[in-house]
Amino acid sequence: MRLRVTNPRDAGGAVLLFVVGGLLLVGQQSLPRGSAVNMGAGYVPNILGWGIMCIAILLTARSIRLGGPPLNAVPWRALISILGSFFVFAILIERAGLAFAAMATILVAAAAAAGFRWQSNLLLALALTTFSVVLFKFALGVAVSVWP
Amino acid sequence: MMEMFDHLALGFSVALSGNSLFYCFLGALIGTLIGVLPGIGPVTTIALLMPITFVLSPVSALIMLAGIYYGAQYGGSTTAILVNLPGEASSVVTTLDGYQMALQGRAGEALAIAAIGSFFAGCVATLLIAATGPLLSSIALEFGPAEYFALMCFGLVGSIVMASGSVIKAVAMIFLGLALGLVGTDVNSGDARFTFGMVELSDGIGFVPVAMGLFGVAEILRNLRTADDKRELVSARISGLWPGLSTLAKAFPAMVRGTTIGSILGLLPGGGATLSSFVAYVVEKKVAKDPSRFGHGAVEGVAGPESANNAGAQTSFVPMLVLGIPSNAVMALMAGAMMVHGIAPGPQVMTANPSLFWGVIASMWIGNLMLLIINLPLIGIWVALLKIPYRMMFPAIIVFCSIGAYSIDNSTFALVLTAMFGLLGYLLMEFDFEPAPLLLGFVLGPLMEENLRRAMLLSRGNPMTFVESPLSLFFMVGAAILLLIVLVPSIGRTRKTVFVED
Repeated sequence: MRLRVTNPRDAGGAVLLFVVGGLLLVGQQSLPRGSAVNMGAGYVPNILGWGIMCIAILLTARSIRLGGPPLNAVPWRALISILGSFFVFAILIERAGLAFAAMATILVAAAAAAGFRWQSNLLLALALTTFSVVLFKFALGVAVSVWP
Repeated sequence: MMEMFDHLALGFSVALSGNSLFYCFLGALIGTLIGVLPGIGPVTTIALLMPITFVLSPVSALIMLAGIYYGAQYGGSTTAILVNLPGEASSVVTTLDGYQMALQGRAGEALAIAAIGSFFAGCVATLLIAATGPLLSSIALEFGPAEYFALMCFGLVGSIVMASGSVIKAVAMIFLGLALGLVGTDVNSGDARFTFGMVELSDGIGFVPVAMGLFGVAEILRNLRTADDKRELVSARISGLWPGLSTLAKAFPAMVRGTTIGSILGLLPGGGATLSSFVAYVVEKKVAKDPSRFGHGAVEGVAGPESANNAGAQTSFVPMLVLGIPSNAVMALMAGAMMVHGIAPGPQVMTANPSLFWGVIASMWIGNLMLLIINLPLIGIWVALLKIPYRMMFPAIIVFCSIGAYSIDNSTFALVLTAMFGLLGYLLMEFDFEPAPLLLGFVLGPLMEENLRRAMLLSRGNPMTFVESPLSLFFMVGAAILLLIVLVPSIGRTRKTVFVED
């Protein structure tokens, strides 16, 4: 009998949990375990790690026994541009100031939607940047510089 | 009894100050605005706006966040009635009869009934909180570590009951949340745990990046995957905002029933606005002489659930403020916001910070009054908002998230964390996990570990301590019963109809 993954969503969850459980179990080895009376820093992580491992095993079993809906196509465009926009902001905020960082972040994020429209996106970025600068810098007094 | 009015008087003196009124109004306004926009729920809104409130005083911050919450609740019902699109999960049932009323040209009547019902529920819930709060807090002050640990177990199991979908996956989310809560320096020993050598993690993972990433960013990623939504507005002009006396007479008993249901369910762990509105609708259908009217514009079908979700939204503050145990994702955010302000939620808040506690309670009543004023005359503006395309909304959310996450302590690390949790949130959604139990686990994790360690130390390592104290036994038995309920399949099936986001 060949084993086949019939429920990819459970399988994906199981992989995620194996990683987290594994990290917990490996990480707690360098921590003092202590005893039930006097628990050390590693006591609870050890229990949690095994708990997560048990659930991961249960999910693995489910993923090959029960059927389930297939995974959705990975939305690469949205993932790259949305997650990338945070990195753009992180890189620019201390070097280029709030105005440029916000502009760039909005433009990169807007590219997540299908069909990038330069004109309307530039307008949107300008309007939102002005709004953010006024709101955060002047109304709320956040300590950032607006210009480089 | 007199004491209760003294407390409320103190509360109103705080809530009626110019500053509080302003932030209450601002919160209710922003909440309504965002509640109307489909695609952003109250959890996302609060996560998004939380950094803004950090510059305010704790009282103003909590008043504003509370305003956002019930504003969003109410804004959600406006879209439910006019566009057949629930702005929030808690107004899903309002679409059933509210939209039908709108199609019959009774949109104004439906909106007014929803507003009046919410206001009525808000008044009753405020009084109820004022009456029960001190009682609960005096009980909670007797709690030892064992009782607290048992209560938190009960709360977490409650969030499993409320999560739709698989029980195993909800348990996994709680464990994952508890694990994330471990990161940072261990308070007892000073050992760094799971920081992977990063200095930025020595204080633990920030609450804001987790909430923004899991709810805000992940939601955008999901929305971008689904095709453009079509919104069809009821085009007829909204007229006749004042319902006739006969309609009011029909709606009033439903409001009373809805308020009762909501007030009780809001107090339970895992309860809150969403569950309350579903139960209220079912009850209305059961008690009606002619249940076939439901789904065809029955006014009770709007009045009951709308009163219930508002009452539930408000009373769900009680376990958070009084016991320090958030019962749903929104309350977890509120608890997180309080901790950022240096106030640990729990029974001591009421005695150590009476003006904060009673000020927030009183501001809820004022906020409900403001909602009545904001909503009915400004309905045209809210309808116009529905025409904003999502293409323009999500870049705005992203840039506010970025500035917000960065501004907490001017750290770019928070931005990287937000992106990472956005990715995690997206993966969890893809694999059919619900992020709400994770957030509860994350907030409660450090408290649970602390209380577990202390309880075991006090009992000299005997785990029987959790069943020997009557209160602790009560919570443990409660948790066990809840777990049994979810594991019985017939009840499990009806759980699917109850939504999670609150």
